[in-house]
Amino acid sequence: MLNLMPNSILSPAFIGHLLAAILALGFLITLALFLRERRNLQKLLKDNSFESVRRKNAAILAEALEKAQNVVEKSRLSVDKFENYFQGQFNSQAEKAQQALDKHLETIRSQSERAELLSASYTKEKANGILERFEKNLESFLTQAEAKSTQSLESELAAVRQTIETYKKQQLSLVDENIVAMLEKTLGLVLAKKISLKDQLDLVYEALEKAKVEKFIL
Amino acid sequence: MIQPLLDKILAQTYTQTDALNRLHALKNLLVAELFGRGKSSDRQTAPVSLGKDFYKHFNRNNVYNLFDTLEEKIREIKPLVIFLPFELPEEGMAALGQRMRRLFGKNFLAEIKLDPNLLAGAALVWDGVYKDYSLREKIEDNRERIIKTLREGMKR
Repeated sequence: MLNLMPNSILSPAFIGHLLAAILALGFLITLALFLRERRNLQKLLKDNSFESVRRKNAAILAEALEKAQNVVEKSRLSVDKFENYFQGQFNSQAEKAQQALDKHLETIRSQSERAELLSASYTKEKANGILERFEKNLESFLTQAEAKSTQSLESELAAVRQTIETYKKQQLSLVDENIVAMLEKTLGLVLAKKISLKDQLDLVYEALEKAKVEKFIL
Repeated sequence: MIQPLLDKILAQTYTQTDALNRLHALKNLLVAELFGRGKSSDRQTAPVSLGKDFYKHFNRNNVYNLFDTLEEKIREIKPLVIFLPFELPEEGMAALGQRMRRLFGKNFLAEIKLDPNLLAGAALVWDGVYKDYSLREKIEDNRERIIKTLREGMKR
């Protein structure tokens, strides 16, 4: 925090207290003189007549008043002197403080400007970095997404091809089964009507001979 | 004495069922002849192919024992089961029987069964083991080649 009052002696409150103290001191001095004169007067009253006492008393009072006035005057002069001195000090210190404050404010302003420039530069750099990273990440993400999509499509295609191939094989297998079944049925019908007993027996003989060769029948 | 009798009975009989049937017929004939029972026509139906000597071996004392022994011997013969895709007539059975005997020896017996699915040829069962020598099996063995040929034929 900026110290605007480098010397507390210059504060108005202090000056006020000082003036009050000076006035009190004058009053006390006056009171002391009055009491001394009163004692002298009482002493005189014992020795002299009333009139002389009254004159003396008046003279003393006048003298006391004069002295008191002198003291008060002197005090007033001292107060003015002090006031002027402290006012000067105060003004000088206030001016110095103001100058320091201005200087400090200037420093702050320049620092702030520098910080602002630095901040702008840092922000720009940071933003550029973020943008660059974002660009790289986006590019990487897009590449990965493309690769994944391609891979997914390829696997889907492979699965579809596999399904088609399996279906084709199953259908062909069914057709084959049907072809063989039809062939056997046709042969059964044809052979039953067309093949002679001799031919049938020849095939049976062939079977028996083969069984013998293979030693199926021992 | 049993073996010549058995050979004569089986000479023109090629299945075990036929052999047993023939044996039972002969037994009835001889029992009727020896004990004067049965129909008089039985004597006339006696198979001539067996020869006159065949009947001389039988008398009232041994006829039952001999026929029991013969039946036992016939049942001891292990028959070859032949599955055929067609009904085999009597003359066909004789031809098949003679071929069997040439291949596997005398007194060889078979049992004929019908299986139209075989298409042609035969399937055999020997000693409880089945083996297919039919056209159906040949088609199965050459299945791929047949399918390939048929496919090529269809493409044209």
